[in-house]
Amino acid sequence: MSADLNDGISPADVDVFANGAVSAAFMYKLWEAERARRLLMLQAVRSNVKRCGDPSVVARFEQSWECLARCERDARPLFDKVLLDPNTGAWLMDFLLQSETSSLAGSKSLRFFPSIAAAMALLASQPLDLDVPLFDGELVLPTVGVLTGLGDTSEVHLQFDSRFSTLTVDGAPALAVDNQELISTPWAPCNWQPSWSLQCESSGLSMSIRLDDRHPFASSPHDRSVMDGRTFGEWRELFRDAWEILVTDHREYAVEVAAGMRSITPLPSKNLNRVKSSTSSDAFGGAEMALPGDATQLAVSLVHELQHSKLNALLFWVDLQHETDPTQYRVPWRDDPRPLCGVLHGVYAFTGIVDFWRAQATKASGGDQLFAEFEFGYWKTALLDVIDQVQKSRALSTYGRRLVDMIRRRIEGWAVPLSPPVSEAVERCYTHSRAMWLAFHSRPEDSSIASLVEAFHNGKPMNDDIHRTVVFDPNAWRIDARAVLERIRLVDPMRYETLVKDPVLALESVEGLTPIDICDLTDGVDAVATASRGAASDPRAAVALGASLASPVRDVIYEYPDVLRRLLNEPALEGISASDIATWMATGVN
Amino acid sequence: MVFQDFGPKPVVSVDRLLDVNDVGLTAISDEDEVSELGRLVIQRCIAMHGTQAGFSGYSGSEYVPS
Repeated sequence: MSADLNDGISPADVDVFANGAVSAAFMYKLWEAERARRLLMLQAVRSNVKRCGDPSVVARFEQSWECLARCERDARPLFDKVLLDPNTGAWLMDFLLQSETSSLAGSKSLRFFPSIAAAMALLASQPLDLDVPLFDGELVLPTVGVLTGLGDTSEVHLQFDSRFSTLTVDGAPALAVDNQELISTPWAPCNWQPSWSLQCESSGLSMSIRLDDRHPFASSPHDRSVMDGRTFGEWRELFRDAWEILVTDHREYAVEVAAGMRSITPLPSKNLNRVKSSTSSDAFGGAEMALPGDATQLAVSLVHELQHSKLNALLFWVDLQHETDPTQYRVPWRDDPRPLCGVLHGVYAFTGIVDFWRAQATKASGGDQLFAEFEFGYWKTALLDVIDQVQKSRALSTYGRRLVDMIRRRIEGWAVPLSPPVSEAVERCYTHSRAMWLAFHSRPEDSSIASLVEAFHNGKPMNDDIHRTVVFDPNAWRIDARAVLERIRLVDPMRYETLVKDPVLALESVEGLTPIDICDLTDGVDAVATASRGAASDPRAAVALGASLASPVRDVIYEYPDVLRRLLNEPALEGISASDIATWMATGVN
Repeated sequence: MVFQDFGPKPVVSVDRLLDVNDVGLTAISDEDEVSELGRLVIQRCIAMHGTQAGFSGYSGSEYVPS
């Protein structure tokens, strides 16, 4: 047996994760494991608190603990509702790290513990008598709601009187509790916002999800979007339509999402050309997401983010890599070079995306079909390119190799005939974004450049045995902007024409687009001159020069934009134009 | 704390972990010290968190849609 195998989990067990959507029963199993993991984390936190040596900290912790333990004993489903809230996982991890590494007194995670206990007690109508700290003036009761307008105080005293089913805040009746529903009383001294919950149903399959906009352990407070009735309405409408799409055309994923997704933390919506979303390894079943532009985007984003959660669940059991891999990989879904563990996440998540568009391409029509074909073709190309790189890594464990190999086999078996314009657009976009990445992050070694300069002066062809390293360039931002514009060209030609005729509007509409891109798209002659002038100093210009020229010169610039830039900066080649150097490069490379 | 640790990893038994759900919080918290299983789980949680925090903290991406 290989040294990197864990007892009890065979490599074949990984296949369940590699084979697409999992069943509801399997997802519930993952939740059971997550529940046990969180119970043990709670136990560890308590043990650390007891050892912290501060009696006041221990005493306050124990008050909340008693409340929580009572709920677990007497009302397990309601205890579980709060325990298994995705953001409870984020809080627990923060608490655990704090309690393992530093002083707990005054820590944010310790201060939030009474909120967790109070939420459980209120849901379960259990006795409650706790001082509960506020966060940014708000009393957050996870999965239940938020009390605001509590005045200038750092904490309040909560009591639940089970005889009258009333929650008092500093002695004043605030909420009536009725069968897990909390309703503001007319004389409440504060404001009550119940948690934002969505329920959808289609063809007998329903899902329920919360929009968790106030949790202090979700996204950065600087990057959260507080809901109001209008934005909730927008989410609700989009969810209803997205659920219909998932149930109708991607039923296996719908089943998985219904069983796996519990909450979304809404992020501010900034850019309709991109869906911003992420998943924390600590918050199983949750995601952070800006409101997508349409229902299809929301549907694919739910599939995408749940893929991350599933992989996190697998990573709890097995290691996908058994040693450090120093390689910084090129992935088309990020502007920055990525380490192997990040790449594996991307590969897994985008496999769900390609699978989604595969089905979508066969069911859509008109512009939607072209778009679905493009997404399928582009991301399939991207995945196979990345998997090619990853499969060379010696750091993959037996499990990791099996997962990647299985994914590759699945993807290679997916065939959707692409219409000629889509096929051309995929090729054009993918080679362009790949070249952009190389222009920014790839660096030819000095010895290779010296050999090339010598070859140029001696009239010899370029030798493509060039040693290159990856150096992260923080200026790389939206390097796939041309691909965004190509999508617009494909599905909305009139809008595309408007954009290229109005550079100011184009630059405003598509982040990362530069004047040189517009120039290239509108005026070939001027584009060559402009790009040639900028190629030495600007990675984007070097690639634009390639885009403005015909094959095979374009191909060699796309393959070696970093080499072209270095040669243009060589004193020994001063005065020689970018086009001349590029033409020379093309003579030597097959 | 070493996050990027690719040495021998704590092995968590699936069955033993799931048993925790039947034992319940009150029983497991009666122990004075974190159990052996608990220690393995915590080690693994921290290592996993650290590995991911090492590259971004989140598996985030900005997916380009329509």
